Parts: sequence; C-alpha cells; structure tokens
Amino acid sequence: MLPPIEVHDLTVSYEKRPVLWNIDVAFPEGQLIGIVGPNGAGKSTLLKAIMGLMPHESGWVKFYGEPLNKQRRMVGYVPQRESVDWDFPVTVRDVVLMGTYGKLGLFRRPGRAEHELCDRCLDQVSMLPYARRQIANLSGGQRQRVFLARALAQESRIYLMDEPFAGVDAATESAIIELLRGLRQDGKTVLVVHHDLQTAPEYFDSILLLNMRLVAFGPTRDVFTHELLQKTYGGRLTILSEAADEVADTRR
Amino acid sequence: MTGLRERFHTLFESPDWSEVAGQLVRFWSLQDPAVRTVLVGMLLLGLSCGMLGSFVVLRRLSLLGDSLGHAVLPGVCMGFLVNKTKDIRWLFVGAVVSALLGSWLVGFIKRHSRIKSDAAMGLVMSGFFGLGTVLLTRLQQQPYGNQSGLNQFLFGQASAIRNADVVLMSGVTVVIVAGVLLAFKELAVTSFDEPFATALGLPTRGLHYLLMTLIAIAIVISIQAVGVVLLSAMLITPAATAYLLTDRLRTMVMLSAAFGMVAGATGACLSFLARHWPTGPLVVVVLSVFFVLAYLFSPRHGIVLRKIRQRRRAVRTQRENILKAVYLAAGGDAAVICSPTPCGSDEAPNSIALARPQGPGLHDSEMRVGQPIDVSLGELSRHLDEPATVVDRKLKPLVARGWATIVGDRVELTESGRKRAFELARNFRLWELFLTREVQLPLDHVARDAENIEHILGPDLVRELERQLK
Repeated sequence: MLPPIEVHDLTVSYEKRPVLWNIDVAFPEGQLIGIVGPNGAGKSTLLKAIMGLMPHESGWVKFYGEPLNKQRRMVGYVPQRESVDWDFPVTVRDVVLMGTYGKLGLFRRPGRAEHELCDRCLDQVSMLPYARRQIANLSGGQRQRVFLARALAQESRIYLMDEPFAGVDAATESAIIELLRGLRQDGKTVLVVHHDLQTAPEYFDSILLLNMRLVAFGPTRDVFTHELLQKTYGGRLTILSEAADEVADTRR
Repeated sequence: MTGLRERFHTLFESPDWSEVAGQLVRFWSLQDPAVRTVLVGMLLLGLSCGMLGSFVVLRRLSLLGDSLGHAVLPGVCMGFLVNKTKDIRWLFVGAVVSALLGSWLVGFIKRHSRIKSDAAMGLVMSGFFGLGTVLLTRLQQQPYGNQSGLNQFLFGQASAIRNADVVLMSGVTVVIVAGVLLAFKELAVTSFDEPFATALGLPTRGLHYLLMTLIAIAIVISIQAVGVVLLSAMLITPAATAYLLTDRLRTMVMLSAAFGMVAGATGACLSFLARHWPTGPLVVVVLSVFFVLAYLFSPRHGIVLRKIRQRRRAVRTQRENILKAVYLAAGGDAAVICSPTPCGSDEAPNSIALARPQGPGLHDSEMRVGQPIDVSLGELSRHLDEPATVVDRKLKPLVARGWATIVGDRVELTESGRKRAFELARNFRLWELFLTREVQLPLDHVARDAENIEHILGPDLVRELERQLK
C-alpha cells in the first residue's frame, strides 16, 4: 500500500541557507505523528516544504504515490496562529468557510452545503456560539480552534498542523488532542509540529526527531529514547548549522 | 498676524451665495455636458479606487500604490511620444507597461538583494518619477509639447476629462468591478492567509498579479484627474475609513467604494462652485474629512464613543458605589461587602449565605428584597466620612436613577435600588468566594481586587460563577 506521505531526499533552503538536509521518510497511514526537535531544527520548514509552500532544492514529496498538485484536496493545513493578521475584517464563520474553498473551485460561492459543513466543524471545536464574532475578539485558544475548524472543513485525509498546541489554554489543549484522536479514529493521518517533550510521548503514535536532518523516525517507544533525544538536542549536530552558513556564504 | 489673515482671505474671496445656488442647480441638473463628463469620470474613479483600496490596505500595499502612481509617469511620456498627442489609448498603454515594470522591479530588487520592500518601493518610485519628470520637462520644451497639457499628470485636472476618457474609464471600471466580484472569495482568502490559500491549491501568484494589474489600471485612469502626487490617497483613504467602520470585508469594500464615489462627486461639485479650484485635491480633502469623522465617531473603533463609553462606566461605578454605601450604612450585609474576616462565618447572620451550602442559600437575598432599607443623611455622612454637602451631591444620581428617595433627612432605597444593591453584594460575594476558593488568593488580597468587579460581572459570568461554586 502506498504511504499517505513519502518524502524522498528533500533538501530545503531558506534565504540560500540550507535548513533541511536530505530528508527521507514515509509516514504510515492512520496515525498521529509528532515532529519534534529544538528551535531552528526546521520543523515548520519541513511542514511547509511538504505542503509545497517552500521551494525544494532537491528531492520530492508524494501523497499516496502522486505529486501534491494532483492530491491537494487530500491535504489539510493548519498554519501557525501568528502567521495571520487577526484584525482582518472577517468573522469566525468567514474563516472556517475558507476551508471549503479548495473543493469549491475558482469563482464559485459557498452555498448551503458549505455553510452546514462549516457549522458542523465549528461545533466539533465548540466554537459554534462564536460564529458571528469578529476574529480579533478571540482568545489564543479560541483562535487555534477556529484554525482547526477551518482545516476540518477541508475534509482531507491527511492533516499537517504547525504548532497547534503552542500557547493555548489547558482546556483547548485537551479539546485539540481529543479532536486529533477523533481524526485518527476516522483513519486520517495527522502530522503535528510539537515543541513540548513532556506531552509528546503521550500524544503521538510515531515521532520524527528532527534537527536539520532526520535523526530518527518510528513508533514513539522506539524513538523517544534518551539516547536519540540526546542526539537531537545535543551539540553534535551544530556542525550542520556551521556547514549551512558556509554554503550560504558561497552563494552570496 | 492680521497681515497673514488678510493675505489668507485673499486666497479665498467670499462667495456670492445666490450665484453659488445657481451653480449648484446647474451642476446637479447635469445639463452641461462638460459637467456630466467630469462627474461621471469622478464617480467611476471613486468606485474603482475605493473597491481596490480595501485590498491595498489589508495587504499592506499602501506604499506600493504610491510607487505605482509615480512609476507611470515615464510611461505616460513615452505614450505621448508615439503620436505626439494626448491620445488616451497610447497614454494608457504606456502607463500600464510602466506601472507593471515598476512593480516587477520592486519584487526583483527584493528577491535579489538585501534591500527590504519599503526601500525597494522608495527606490523604484523616486527613480521612475525622476526619469518621468525629466522626460516631461523635455517634452514641454518641444514645439509640439506646448499644448500637451502633460503637466496635468502631476497634480491632475479633472476638467480635462473628455468623453473619450470617460469611455475608457467605464471600460476599466467594468473590468475592475467584475474582477473583484468574481474573485472576491479568492482575494479574501489570499489577503487573509496566503500560505493557506496556496495549500488549498488556489493560484495565489496569479491572483496577486491580477490584483496588481487591476490596481495599475485604476491608477492609470485616475492619474489625469487626481495627479501622480495625490493618487495613493484615492486608494488608501476611503479604504482606511471603511476599515474603521466595519468588521466585514464585504461591507468594507462596499463602503470604501461608496466613500470614493461620494468624495469624487463632492470634489467635482465644489470645484465647479468655486471656479478654478482643483478637483483632485478637493476630492482628497473630502476623503480626509471622512476619515477624521470615522476616526472620531466610528461606533466600535472611534475614539469619541470609546471615551463616552468609558465615562459612562465611570459614572455607573460611582453611582453603584454610593448605592453600596447606603446599603451598608443602613446595616445591610456588612459582612458580605467589605468583610476583613473570612466570609460566610456564622457570626454574620445577615450575610447572603453563599458559603454555607446547606444553609438557606442564594435565595436569601431575594427574600430580603421586601424589607425597607433606609438611613439618615447624618449617618451616611459619618459612614462615608464626607461632609453632608458632598453626600448630598453624590446621592443625586441615585435619586435620578430611581434607586433611592430622600424623605426629610432620611434616604431610602426604592425597590429597584434594593434589587441592584443585593445584586452587587451578591456579585461581590461570588467573586470573593471564587478568588479565595479557586484562585486561592489570601483574603487581604481579595478585598481590593474585588473592589470594582461587582460592577462589571455580566449575567453570563455570574451564572458561571454560581455553577462553579455550587
């Protein structure tokens, strides 16, 4: 069977500086998968590169054996919360409706079916009472729920989420993990960039340890070991970072 | 000073009002074809620029609008050179090419050097404008350039709008309105969250260039009437005004277009009334007045109403504090409202028995609503530690609100006054309990923290507190 996401020899640069080196991984279907690593390890970059939001310097990504542009509808995305302007003049419902735009296609307006779907997704994250609110008036946790509802409205088989647990209240955190488990139950594959080592082994079936290169990937109990964590967070990999600086220098 | 004032007055000679009225009628009866042309032209400009302006402001492209406005100048001059006349079609082509070249150059500099976007825009804008000014000056010195009227492009001259221009403007406006309406949801999602729009598979880059092209052609048709220098105001000011007035994108786009049109018509009318006053700058002044009004009086984001709301809240808090004082001075529930000892202890027989779950419970307070609460003015004055005149003054809003009546030298709470007093006492008590039990603040922290909270707690929060403290 084809894996939901297969990454082959992926190298990505940011402003000419390589930040991910030769990533090779195939994610299994129907799991909650955590991407874990120190700051600057390229966790978000990996997600963006898989999502086609950053140019690949080498390598490719396939979704069920097909390139992204054939499988867009299958992949839902939750960007980091800080990446947007929350003063933007839209309501909670407007934002969640955006999740349906991919399936709708160009120039078609969301109709009754889309609005009903949007209501169901809002209800799943307990945000239905806030549907008419302007998004500036939401707390951090509520904003995260809105982003998740928007991704749910994409009705995808694969979800990529960038730090959904960052800076949310405890109630939202447990609501999110419940939601993720629900997605897994429905057979979806969920990739989550995660920064909290405390909760990582509890939340995820598999973990990818990342620090500019792939340190390890596999079932949580095999990967989340003292030795591998040391390798991810320890100093030995700084050589990669220095090499990246050199590469960037030669390109300037 | 007087000399300056006189000199200022010679700038604006006082009008003959009957003539002004006559001119007004002439303007709005639209009999004069020249007037009609200018008015229609200004309405079309206001509509196009206002609509697109919303996206310019929300995408933080304001500076880009300005630089595109300046960047068209060399293109306009080249367009003029084609036939050595002000052939609107060639001017249009030249301007669009020039604007798109400018915007591409901004992106190019940004991508291939360490220059950031604001500096890149400034570079392109001033470079193109400098080149344009050189060309313009040379053109005007040529024999065929004398009557060119090209200097209108600097500050604009709406009266120079001809029928051919209006035809072009109409076409461009139709394209812009259709483009925005058709791609509204795509423009909305890319403006809000571009990476997500890309993830959805929307052609974000194409949409960006579509928007850029629409902005460029809107600028090009505006330039003759408004001029290079003031152009960005046509895009930014109506949109910024609308942004202060609404929280919905659709409403913002419509409002912005409406402001653009109203200002365009007003500017044209004013410049018709006061002959030789420049239309474009007048439009910009009118737009700026709109903005100032929105800034001051917008229901949600305006500063005047915000101040009024704050003032109201302060007045309310003051009124409720004096209500609380009357209630306390009359011997009501001292333990509840400012007890320094733990609340709910059994020595406080009057307290609203929240802390005793097995006691008579929350309904205590309602049972007591029937009993009169009154106190003499002297006692109240002692309780507040303020002279009688101050107390008198402080009681006035209470009486005005119908919460208390003054009979002789006694003040008595009315039924609604008693109700509110109990409510406040209860809110305060709930909050105090919440802080000591759930937040586990020591009691001496609680009293001050809770000082004003009872005025603020809404019914939803009160119900939630009740639920948590059951």
